[in-house]
Amino acid sequence: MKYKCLEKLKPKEIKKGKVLKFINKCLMAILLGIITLIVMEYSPKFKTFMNEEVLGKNISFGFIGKIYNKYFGEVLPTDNKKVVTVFNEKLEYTNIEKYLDGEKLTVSDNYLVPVINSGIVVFVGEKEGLGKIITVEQEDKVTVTYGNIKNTDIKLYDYVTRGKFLGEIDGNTLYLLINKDNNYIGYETYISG
Amino acid sequence: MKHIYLDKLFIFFLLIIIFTGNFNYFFPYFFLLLIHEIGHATMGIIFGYKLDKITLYPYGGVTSFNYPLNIPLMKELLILIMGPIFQIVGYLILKNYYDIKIYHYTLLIFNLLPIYPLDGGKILNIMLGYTYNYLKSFYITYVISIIFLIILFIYNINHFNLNLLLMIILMFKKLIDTYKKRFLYYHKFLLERYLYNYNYHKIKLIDNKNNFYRDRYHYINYQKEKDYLKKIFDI
Repeated sequence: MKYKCLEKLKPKEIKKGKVLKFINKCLMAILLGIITLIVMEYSPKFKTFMNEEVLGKNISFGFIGKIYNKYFGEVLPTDNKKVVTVFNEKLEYTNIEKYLDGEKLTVSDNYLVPVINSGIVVFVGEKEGLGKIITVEQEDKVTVTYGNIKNTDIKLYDYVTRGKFLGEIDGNTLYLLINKDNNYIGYETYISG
Repeated sequence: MKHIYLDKLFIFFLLIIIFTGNFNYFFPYFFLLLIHEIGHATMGIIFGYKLDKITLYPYGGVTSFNYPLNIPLMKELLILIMGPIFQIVGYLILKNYYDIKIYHYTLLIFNLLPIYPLDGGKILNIMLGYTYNYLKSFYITYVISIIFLIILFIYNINHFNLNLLLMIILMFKKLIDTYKKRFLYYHKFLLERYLYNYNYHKIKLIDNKNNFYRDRYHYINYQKEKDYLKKIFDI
């Protein structure tokens, strides 16, 4: 007598099953996507909710990291003695005025820019009118973009700490864009509150 | 690649790393972890043993071979030591590109702690195997492992870390598991001696079946080892 269930499955049959499972998963994902699109089309309330909550917001990795470190300890081992604030994290400038979405700060020649608050670097690159920029997503859910920077060794997704050396200024103007809850705010209002 | 498995704890660790934004530091850490295990694997394969699987945990990994329990002490020691050596070599190459000094030393020190499922504990067991018999060296390793695990636990209470706590629980579970199976392993050890012919240079006189040594040929109450084991296994 033969027990079919006890017979070993042939390798080919296992492969077939895996492919079918994968196709099923893809189809389910497409189905869910289509359902949300249809519901968005018929209900404007749901559409605004989706636009605001799902498409308009980012996960704040810096904030999650801060909470995790506070209650559960470090994720990867770090050298605590090494983290020393090199600079005063407050910027020193002579003049401040509006420029594009953010502000233009007049500083001394070859000013060394400190990091305003600890966070994760989410963008390093060039932008028209701003020169070389570095975007830091801070632990307090505020995104700060520093423009017109040269001579920096910061890479994408590095964790930078408050008061650390960010880079040197190219010329004597520093561009700052501070984004809080999808609104651009000035440096002085950010510092005061 | 088909030999490498990720433990559930490791996947949990990976998710935490992603959600806390430590993307940049993950790759070098993972690479050090893997190179350590590859060190064990290469040495085992050079000796001609078949690789079973490599399982990765947050603070280290386990490389398991299908080798007998009667493997010569020197060979097992070399397999164990080759992991840290590979890791040091990998670190010396990688340190020019990444700042991984702290990960390297943490992994190295953690893996060389004298707790049984870790490399350090296994090396301790082999060192004791030169002077004490199989069961006695197991018991001594076991007691030292428990003491160090308690010290690690007290350290973790003062400097709380979730990952380390999960690792301590896992190691404790494995220690209890090995303690329950100690006689099973010992009888496998005796059975291998009965079934296969091993050539040992040293001879030991013993009076009890619980006093078998590794790497030694025995006379039990002036009786040849094979004849004595035949009485136990041939019914």
